Amino acid sequence: MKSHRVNTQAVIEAACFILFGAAMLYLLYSEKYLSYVTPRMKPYLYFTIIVMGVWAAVSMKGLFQIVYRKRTGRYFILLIPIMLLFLPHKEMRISNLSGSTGLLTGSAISTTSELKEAAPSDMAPAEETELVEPALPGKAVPEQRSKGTDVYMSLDIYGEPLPLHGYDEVNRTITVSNDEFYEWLIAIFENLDTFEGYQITMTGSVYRDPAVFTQNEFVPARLLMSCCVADLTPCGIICVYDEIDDWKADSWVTVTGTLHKGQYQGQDEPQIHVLSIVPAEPVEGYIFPYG
Amino acid sequence: MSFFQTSEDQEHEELKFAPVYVVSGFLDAGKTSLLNMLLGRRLSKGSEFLLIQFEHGEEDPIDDSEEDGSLTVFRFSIKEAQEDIQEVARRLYSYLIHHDPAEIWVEWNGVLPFSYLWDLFPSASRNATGTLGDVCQIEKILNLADAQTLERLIGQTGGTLLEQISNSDIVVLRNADSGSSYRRLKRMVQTWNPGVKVLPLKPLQNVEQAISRQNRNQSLTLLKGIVFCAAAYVVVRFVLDAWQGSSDKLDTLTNVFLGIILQAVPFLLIGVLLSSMIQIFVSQQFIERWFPKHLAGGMLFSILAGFCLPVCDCASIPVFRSLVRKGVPITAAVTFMASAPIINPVAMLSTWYAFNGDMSVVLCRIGLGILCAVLIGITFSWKRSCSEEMTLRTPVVYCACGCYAASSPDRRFGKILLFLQHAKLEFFDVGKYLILGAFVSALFQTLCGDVSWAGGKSGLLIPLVLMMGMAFALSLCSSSDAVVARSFSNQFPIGALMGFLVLGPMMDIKNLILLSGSFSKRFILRLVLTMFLVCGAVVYLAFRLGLERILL
Repeated sequence: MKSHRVNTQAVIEAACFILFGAAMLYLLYSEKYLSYVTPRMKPYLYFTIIVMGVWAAVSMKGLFQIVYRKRTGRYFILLIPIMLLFLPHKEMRISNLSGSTGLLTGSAISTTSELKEAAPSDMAPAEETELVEPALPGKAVPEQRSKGTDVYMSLDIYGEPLPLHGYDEVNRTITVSNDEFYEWLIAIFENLDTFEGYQITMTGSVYRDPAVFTQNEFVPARLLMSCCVADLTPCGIICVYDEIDDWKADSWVTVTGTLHKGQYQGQDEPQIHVLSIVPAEPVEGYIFPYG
Repeated sequence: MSFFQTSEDQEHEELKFAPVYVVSGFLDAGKTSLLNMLLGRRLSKGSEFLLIQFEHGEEDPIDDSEEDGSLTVFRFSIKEAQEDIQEVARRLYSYLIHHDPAEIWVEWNGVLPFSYLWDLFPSASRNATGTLGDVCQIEKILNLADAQTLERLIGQTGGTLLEQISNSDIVVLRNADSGSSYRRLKRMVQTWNPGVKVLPLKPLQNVEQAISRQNRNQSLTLLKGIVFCAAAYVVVRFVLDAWQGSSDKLDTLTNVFLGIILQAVPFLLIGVLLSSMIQIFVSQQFIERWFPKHLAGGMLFSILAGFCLPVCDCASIPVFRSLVRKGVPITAAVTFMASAPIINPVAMLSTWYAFNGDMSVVLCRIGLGILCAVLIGITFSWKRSCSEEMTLRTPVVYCACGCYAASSPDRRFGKILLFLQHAKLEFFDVGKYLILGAFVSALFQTLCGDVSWAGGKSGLLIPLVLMMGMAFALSLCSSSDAVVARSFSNQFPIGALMGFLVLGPMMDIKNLILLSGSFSKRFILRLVLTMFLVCGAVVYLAFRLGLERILL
């Protein structure tokens, strides 16, 4: 009976390390790790995989070593997260969040971005928030305009120029793509007057907080993760719509309406006066502002 | 039919090893009388037994002439064992190839390190090796300790007794004068050897039961545990779905838990790797030699050392203990213990990361941490007698991270292998507190996310006290606690989070357990209260005076 002669603890230990490393690799490969942490964790997770591999090798070295008191209870530390990872659990939705999580409003977002922008302040002021026509050869511009595909130049959180799409200056419309949800939010929050009266289309899930919203207010919101799933916060633009009661909380909708400067908790905030609401496909994934 | 049975029996015979029961303990612990009691009962039921003694106790071994069974006694002196354990093994081997005792009992002398025991009874290997490993295998190791002298003996003998206790399956405590002293010793023994069975000597039946109880098949237990947890999870989820219409709460709990774990594990890994590097590659003597001995210089040096030594709180306590032992002033040692986990580079990196690269939070944590550490250190210079008050119970630098198991590194890889093993063991040691902390934190966020009753983001005092209490209870490693603190930022003001970040690394339940192994209750109580009050007061005042404005 050869199994008697192998240090089973070493086998179990190595297996646990390998399993944990494999689970991390799977999370990275399938990009499922983005349901729990931000893309910034990627290198750290690779580092974890390497350490697990080295430790598995170290454990295998002890395969024939004498260990009298075998302790396997500690492997629960590795197995419990692996187990939970593969047991069914739905992605977080807005209604899952605890009551005290407020809406990440314009003022909150723009404060953060101002702080971040403070560092590279040597940037020319004109570039900072000014509408910049796409610096493309002249002939390309009208062509783009007719299709409503102007590019609006904004700045990302590090102060780098960031082109935003779906913008049509002539027809005064903005079609927010799901990938640029957050970037457009910042651009709109910071240029309330510029976008006054624009027609905007954006997709989010219905979020209503009875404590702060009036009867006809809601937000087509997306969840924003700044560090890990524990700090998810909804963000979006407040919409005014009288028939919002017809839509269930958390249902995904595409909202079209006109942008106006409004008030929310004593701050200037953009508001959308809704023209139409249509159901939308759920948008996968969270927003990573510091991604 | 009968043929079949015989062949199976034969096959079974080949695999069967005679079980070896080891009773270890110091002189006068009463090993012989315990053995006589245990063997007496067995002998009355017949069979052949072998008793191996490594000292001559005050009592003679039991006389088997009036019993049904028979007892053969081998006696070796400690000198014989120390000089040539292989000769001892050869003599036993030549006896055992001709005899087949039902059980082998060993009365192990507390002075002999267990490495001799492992040499004497190697584990079975694939082929016959001509050693005792071919015929018998250790089944149980019991340590008999006198409650009155255990702590003193550990102090005097250093690692040997501790090694024996941490390798035992059962520790029998005798002569405990009260229930409370028994419980205290039991806790102490279990810090050294988690999961060990601790029993009083009487009633003897319990001891016998513990001896005869099959060692659980650990791998099976692990598997069963995981299957049970998974099944429980699925059932709970199903029931929630059926009764409440949704399993949202459980899903949230799982999501938050996994988020914290995925976030914290890499930092914990960095932490244990760096801390093990220090512990393996930098000798304690080196640290102690360069420690200045006067107040201000010592404190300054403590802070610098804390910065250079990336030890987290669980590693700083063994260092603290040895510093005190080597006569480093208590003020400096306490300052080191309180500041090292906060100002070390790993903690800084993880704080910086958790708060989205916000340097002001990092600087604030370091500044307040150093201020608190210095103030706490100074309070210990007030009274000269306090160094007596904190009598070291066990002047043994017992590495709580369990590097005992890694005491025999392979020559070829030597220190690197030892370093990796040390880090691994430390990871498991600290990891359990992280799992528990992540779970409590996730539970808290899922079930009582609304903490407006605690003053919410507007108040400061109540959330501060609450967060400090939480830091104490969660026992997070300082290399990853920032992430957890950050996850509370929706519910608590930054001032309260700062209380969490400053107090947590200095003192928590885990540190308390580690300290209680070697310091007097009075000293620990004083330390804990001082840390609570100083941290609370400093953070409260700082934020009342407007520190908050700098931090967003």
